[in-house]
Amino acid sequence: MSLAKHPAGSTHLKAKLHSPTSAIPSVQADTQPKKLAGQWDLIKRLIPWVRPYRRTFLMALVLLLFSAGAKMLGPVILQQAVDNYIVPGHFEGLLLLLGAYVSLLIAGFVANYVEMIQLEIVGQRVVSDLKKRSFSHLIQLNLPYFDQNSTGKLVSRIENDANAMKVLMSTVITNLLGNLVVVVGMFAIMAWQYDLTLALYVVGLCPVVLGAAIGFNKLMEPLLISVRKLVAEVNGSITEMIQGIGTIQIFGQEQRFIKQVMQQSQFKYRKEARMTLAFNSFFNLLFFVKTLGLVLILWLGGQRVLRGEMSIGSLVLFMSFMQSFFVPIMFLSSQFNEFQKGIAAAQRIFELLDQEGREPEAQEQQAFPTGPIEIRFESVWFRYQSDWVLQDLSFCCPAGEHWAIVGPTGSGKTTLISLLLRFYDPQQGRILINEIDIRSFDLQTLRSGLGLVLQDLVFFPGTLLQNLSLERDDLSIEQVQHVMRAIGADELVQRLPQAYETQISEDARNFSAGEKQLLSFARALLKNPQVLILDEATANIDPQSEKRIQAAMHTLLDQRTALIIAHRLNTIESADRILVLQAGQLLESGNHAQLLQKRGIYAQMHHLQVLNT
Amino acid sequence: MSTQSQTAPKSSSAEQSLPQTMAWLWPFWRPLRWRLLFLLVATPVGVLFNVLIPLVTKQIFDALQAQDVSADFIAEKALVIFWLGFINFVFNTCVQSIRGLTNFHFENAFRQRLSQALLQLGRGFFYRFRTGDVTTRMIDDISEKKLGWFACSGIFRLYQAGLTIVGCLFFMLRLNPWLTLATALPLGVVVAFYIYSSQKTVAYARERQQAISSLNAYLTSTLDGIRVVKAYGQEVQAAQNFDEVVEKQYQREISLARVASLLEISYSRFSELGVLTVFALGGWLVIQGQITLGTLLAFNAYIFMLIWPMVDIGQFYIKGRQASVSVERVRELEEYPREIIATPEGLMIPSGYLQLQFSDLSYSFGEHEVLQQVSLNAKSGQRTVLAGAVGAGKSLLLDFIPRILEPHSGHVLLNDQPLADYDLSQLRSSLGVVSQNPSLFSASLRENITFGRQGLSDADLQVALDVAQLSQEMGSFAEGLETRIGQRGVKLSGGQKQRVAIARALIHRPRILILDDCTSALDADTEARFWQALHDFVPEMLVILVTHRLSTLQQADQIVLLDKGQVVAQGDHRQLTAQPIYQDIYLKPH
Repeated sequence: MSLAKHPAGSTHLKAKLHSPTSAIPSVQADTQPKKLAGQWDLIKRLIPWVRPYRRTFLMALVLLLFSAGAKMLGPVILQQAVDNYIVPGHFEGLLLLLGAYVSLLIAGFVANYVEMIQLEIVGQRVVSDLKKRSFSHLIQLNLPYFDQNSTGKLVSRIENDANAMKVLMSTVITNLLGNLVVVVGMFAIMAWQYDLTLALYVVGLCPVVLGAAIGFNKLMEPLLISVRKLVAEVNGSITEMIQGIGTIQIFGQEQRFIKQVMQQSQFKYRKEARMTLAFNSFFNLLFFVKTLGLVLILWLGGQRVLRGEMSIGSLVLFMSFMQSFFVPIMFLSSQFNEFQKGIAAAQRIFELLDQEGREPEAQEQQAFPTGPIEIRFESVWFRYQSDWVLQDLSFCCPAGEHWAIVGPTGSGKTTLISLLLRFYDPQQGRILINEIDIRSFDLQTLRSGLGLVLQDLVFFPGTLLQNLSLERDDLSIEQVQHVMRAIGADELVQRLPQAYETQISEDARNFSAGEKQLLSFARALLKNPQVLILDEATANIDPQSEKRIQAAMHTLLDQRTALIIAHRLNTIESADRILVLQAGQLLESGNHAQLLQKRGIYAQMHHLQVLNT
Repeated sequence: MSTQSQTAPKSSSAEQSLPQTMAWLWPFWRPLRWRLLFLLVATPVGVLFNVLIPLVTKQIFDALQAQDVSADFIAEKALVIFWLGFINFVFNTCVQSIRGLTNFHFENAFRQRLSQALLQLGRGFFYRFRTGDVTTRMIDDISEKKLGWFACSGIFRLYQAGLTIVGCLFFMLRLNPWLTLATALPLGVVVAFYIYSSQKTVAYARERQQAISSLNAYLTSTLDGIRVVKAYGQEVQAAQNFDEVVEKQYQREISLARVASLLEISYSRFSELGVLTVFALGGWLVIQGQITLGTLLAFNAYIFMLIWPMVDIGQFYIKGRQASVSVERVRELEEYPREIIATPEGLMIPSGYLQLQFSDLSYSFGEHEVLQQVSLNAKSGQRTVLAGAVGAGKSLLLDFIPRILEPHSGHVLLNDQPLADYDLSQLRSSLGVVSQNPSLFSASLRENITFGRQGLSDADLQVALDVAQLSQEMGSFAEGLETRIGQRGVKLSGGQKQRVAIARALIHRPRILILDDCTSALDADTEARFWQALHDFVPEMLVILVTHRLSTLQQADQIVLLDKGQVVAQGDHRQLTAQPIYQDIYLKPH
């Protein structure tokens, strides 16, 4: 019995099989859990999630115990083979015993395999359930939550953290429980059946090795984290360099950028070198400890055999146990970090599930008016955190009119629209639709009555048609085509390989900025809303297409109310009324001609834009 | 201008052979001769001390069986094992550490050479290769996990595996040839099994990875567009879609686990099968008196020693193929023809009056001619606007001036000399370029504006900020000019990014300014102030720009109207108002 000397080999393979999330950089996994004290509470909280799969889970546990038992019996059989058959010379008996060993191996193999799969199924099921639940919870939260938490962070919470939790479920249970059973069982066999003192020597090495491994992993964690950060940094620089390559060339900065990337890489290399040295030394040292164990067994056990206190077979058994002892312990220690990460991840997921701030319920369930819509703001005050973004804003846009809102960046135009859609509620004042406070509508009802066109179009994975109709089954392809033709977007659809059935990738690389805005516009129109809200919806559209959109609006939005935010003043000259906002206050209002006559801010802005030729 | 074009040819089809891969790697090894020598010598030493251990174990057991030894003999032999193990530990640590260091070193070395090559390529290259693809090659293909790993660890693990197998077989054959044949030969199956099963696993793992990617993509697009989701009342639908995506990932995870778990437990069973053979056949030989019990146990130890080298051989085969693909992908970048040739000792840019002339310039993407015989003339002190609908070729035309693109036919002339005759770096440094989506870098505002150029004073910086209409806003940056703006300038708004890029282009007082629709995120009065300030800053500047704004068009000295890559009209705003295309795009009443 010897040492399967190949530390790097075995861990490499293991890592390959056991790194479901390694491809996604996990930002959060690095942060330590704040309160490790609640570990048991967390585990208690996890239990209900496992409950639906308890039968599978229990079956897996039983199989786990069985295969652990089979593992323990192996060395015992070898001891029997040596002492009872090989040394005395009974070949037939040996064959019988080895035959029994074969069946044991096969049974152990099957049990082990089934157990691993079943545990994987339970783990993945629980993780899937958690992901689904956290997403559906997340998506119901109100906008301020999304303002405070970046998309990247939330994605990592749902995807990476859920997967990190899976480690708690399957790997840890297999390793912790399975190996614990093996270690204790082997100790029991060695101690009672063979030799207590020698057993204690062997087992005595275990806590030392385990403790050293855990301590080492903890010690190395800061280095690992900093290496991971440096890797991310270097990759970021490279990405930046490639994306800005034209700029770098034009400005003649090639060598400076290469130098910068190489300096970063060199710095990273130094840390990586330290990491490599530390890990290789430590893990080889652990294997050396195993050699030490072997030396110990041969030396002490050999003397016992000489004195006739122990059989040669027992010595073989001890050596064999030594072999099976160390591998689980080394994996246990490597799982320790994973375990901690899993706990931290679980904490974050439950935090997300506990996150309050769902969107408000309607006070009364008013039906949304079907006819023309009037929008009224009544002394509305609003701020996100400190400064007032809207101050005492009042206006009333009568049904069927098209109003424009203009003003410099930061004047509160977009906020006004967010309030109308109830992404936020004003601190003071109220907003009325046909004299009904918008808080009396169910959110869905309110929003389904308002068509919003934003500057950026968000695509969801799916076909173009699905993206335009947003799963409204009642829309026929003819209706879609009609609207697209009206705004002049049908040409760009014909350009696509499968027209409306073309799969859209999430970043919608197939479309230019202007085309995306056209599609966003089509989506809003297809909703057939009573009110249309355009937020900088035509910034990247060339004037020709914009005119077509405006023409389409006149036919498609006749009798409907519209609020339009625009930078380019010439696009809103025909609005029924123009509101001029500055720093959250309404400064002027009137139609184009009136405002020009007033010679106020609007007239100035207009003058600047059409600057004399 | 649309940047999508033919994607790169599938590299897997043009896979390199192993010798070619090695030949590509060799120049990187050359400076590391001592390291190479160390690995060549130290690896066999470590292996030797390892394969000797079972022989000593055999001596102990033989002595125990013969029952005529002293306790001292046992202790002495145990001590020998201790020292063998210790020396092996020292050598193994050194060898493995050097291998690890070298992997990391290679990653950097590959990256440096590739960066040099890449930064000499013109824009034409990026019309062929997507930036994401290039980034993957620069980050992933050459990393210490792929090509870097193969270049050192891959090769030397094979070396170590070979030596271990030779060493074990040598002693096993000396102990008993028949038992060697019976036990060691079947281990060759491990190699085949590894190759077969890892190819299977890789396929499943790739599918799982795709499932994870689509889950991430779904999350990202939904959460980025949370306003749209909510405005369209899509919360429930979105959750249902997500459930489907999660379910798909679940299926993939389980399929992968079925294969991977089988693989994982198989390896431990291989050694158990070997043990079984040793005990059955070896037991018979012991009983027959042909070998001793110690020999049987030594064989048993060798079986364990042989498993991982077998895996390593399989791994070398798999990783070697992957490395060949990576090398091929890297060479594709390195060997891409240099379009832009810098003329040695080129002409200096003349001082004073400049005239930039495009004459019969054509350019095509594959079959498709995107610019056809474009001719135009721009002069110092004039503002020339390129106008036309989306896709007319306006932005593309601008790329010829800094020579990041070379015309396929026709010329660009500066004061009647072809641009290519001028000194490239002087040409570029006399230009100010602001592109449609300006590239900013994760550094401070100041560093982004001065951008590594020497001899710029604070006064220059202030003027650039003033002209670019940034100075009013400086108060809103917490640390003023030292504010870090994040990767690609994520911490800035669209308008701020454009103004930073404008300041960057202006700070060194360029002779020629190129603006590609870069004022779209500025509001009208800011833009008007910008034009006034620019005129006051350098009145004699030659300006070429792309814009959609009527007010800017009206002020241009010259408008060149493009349609589908051809010049259809030239003149000032008043002259062009008669052109139907111009009317269609810019003048139709609404």
